[in-house]
Amino acid sequence: VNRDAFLGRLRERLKAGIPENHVRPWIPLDGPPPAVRYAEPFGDLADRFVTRAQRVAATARWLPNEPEALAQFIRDAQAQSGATTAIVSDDAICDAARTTLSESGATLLDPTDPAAAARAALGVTGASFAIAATGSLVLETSRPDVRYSSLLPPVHVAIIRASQIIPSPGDLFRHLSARFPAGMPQSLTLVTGPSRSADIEMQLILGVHGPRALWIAVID
Amino acid sequence: VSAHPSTPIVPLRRRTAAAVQDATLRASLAGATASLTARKAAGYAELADVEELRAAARATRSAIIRRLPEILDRLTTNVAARGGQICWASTPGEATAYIADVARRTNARRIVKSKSMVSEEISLNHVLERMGCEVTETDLGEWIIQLAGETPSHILAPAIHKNRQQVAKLFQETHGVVVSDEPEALTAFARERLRERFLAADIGISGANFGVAETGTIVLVTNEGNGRLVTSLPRVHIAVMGLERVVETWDQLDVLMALLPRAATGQPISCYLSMISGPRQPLPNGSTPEFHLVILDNGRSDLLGTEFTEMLACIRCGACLNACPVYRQVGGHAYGPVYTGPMGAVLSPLLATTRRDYGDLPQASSLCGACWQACPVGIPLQDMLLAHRRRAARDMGFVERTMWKSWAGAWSKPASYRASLAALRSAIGVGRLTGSAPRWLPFLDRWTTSRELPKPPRTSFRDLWKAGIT
Repeated sequence: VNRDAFLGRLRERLKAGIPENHVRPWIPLDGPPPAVRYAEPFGDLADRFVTRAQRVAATARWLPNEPEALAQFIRDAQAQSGATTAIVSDDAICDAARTTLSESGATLLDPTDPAAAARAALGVTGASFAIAATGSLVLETSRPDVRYSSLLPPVHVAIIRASQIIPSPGDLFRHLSARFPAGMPQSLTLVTGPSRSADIEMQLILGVHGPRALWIAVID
Repeated sequence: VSAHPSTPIVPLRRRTAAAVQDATLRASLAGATASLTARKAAGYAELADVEELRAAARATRSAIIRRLPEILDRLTTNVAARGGQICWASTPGEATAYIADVARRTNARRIVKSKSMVSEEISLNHVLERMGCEVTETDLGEWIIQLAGETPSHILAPAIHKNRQQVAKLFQETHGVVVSDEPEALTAFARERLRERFLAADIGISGANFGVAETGTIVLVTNEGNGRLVTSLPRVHIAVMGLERVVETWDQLDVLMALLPRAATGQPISCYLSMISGPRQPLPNGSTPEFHLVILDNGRSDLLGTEFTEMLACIRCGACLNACPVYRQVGGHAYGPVYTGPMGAVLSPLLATTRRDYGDLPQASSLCGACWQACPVGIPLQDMLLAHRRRAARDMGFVERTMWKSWAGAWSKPASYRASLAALRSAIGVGRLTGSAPRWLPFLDRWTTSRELPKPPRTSFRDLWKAGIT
């Protein structure tokens, strides 16, 4: 059917009013929905982020402010997975990682080509933001390089600055136009830990369709 | 080939009787529902005031239902502004015909799907397979039941009824290779097989947990990553959603997203939360991605203005299933339709496609209200189950109605009430003595197959009272 017929039917049904449940009535809100409040204070945002990311099986570290620490972190991720091919997203924060990977012999593939990205063993991205409450990364996945680097290889390494960490999902959802002044990106993805499933006997398995391992370096 | 939608319906009593005999099923169910319920409690614990949030969520959803036409209008206007195409589907037939058209126009042969209950509701796989498409479910649980030719038994964990040995056997039978029955190995096998399908697919079909009207965004809550692959690898993405799965603003979504994953699996947030606004940018090779949003009615609009209106507030978390003493014993397949447990027992008898065959589902409830307590958006499910029963009572046949009426009449007068109890006392007494009671006592035969008849007292309480209890 067309839009007008579809919506007209809804308007028609709503015209007569909706009967109240007198036993368990609902109370309308006065204003906008209340903020989501947490039982415990967060303390330091970077600490909270790292703790939370680790809790969902990410390897998250707050690195000391020296280039060698990040290089070592990248080499560790590479060594642990035995990756010889990698894709790196086009973020300035990933430049050092690109250098480290090629110095240690990895072949860098085109991160915007899905066929190439699917062959890569390791993907490196930055992030738009990170969320302390949940240990999540906020990725602008409308960009093909970010989309594929964070999704197709079995290992995803993300590099973020401590200043990018915001307290809670609400600080993203409720301030989207401030966070993305150029407008809502076509695709945004919150990534919280490596891909997982518990579909077989409720047993948690990592790395179903997305990355098996997620490494997060928090710098500066 | 997917399970055929029009399998003959076995009566509810026989379906549940068969389910409670299945020891494997009951063991899986007991473990899964208990574990999900415990995780939910842990997930809630880190929120400062869950009850405040539940009340806000209920108010939010109730207010949204009252503004559905305006919100759907705004959502679709914004989706269209971003280059997406909209299908308004009153019936499953209209939805599947639209999707089939897209497949035909784009010469699509290979279709990958992430989990979508609405696509099950409209038997989408069946339609696409009939026209020669290869449809692959990519959620691990959904893939398992697709290979087995079954339907989901839980809206969250579709293969909750199968254990690892059964899954290993299934993979072996369908792929001719031996797979270890370790969940790790089974999952790795699925990853490898399904990755090929993702890369080769022409169309990706997903559901939608929410449509956010403010920006024309579809929100997908997933854990495995298949939802991301389905929506970002194939050139064409089709999202199907029920007309009620909308919010107007992102602050509403914030409240609902704080509750949905916690109520579903106890996770503070799902592994992946995808926010998709329209089609992707054109690719360097010149191909133009498409985004289609299919919005389904299928009888949902009939709920508006009735005592079942608030059922449209449901956010499909599955918490009521895990809390329900009936679901915990019999599982989803005994209910029959796609939507099961308490929410399904309310909704399935109302949806156009299932209302004829599943009118008896509201009987599968103890009216204990555990579903309402478990519901993150506070839907009074047991009041609606009761409303269903009230409707059934109104519609019952002449014989049954006369019977209940005469019983009510007799027990409304002291004399006939006393006489009927005296008669029952002696009848049960005789029955117990001769051991033949179950067969000739009306209505008690079924009751006594699993229970002893109580020993009736010699004198009634009323007589004792009159004589003065000493």
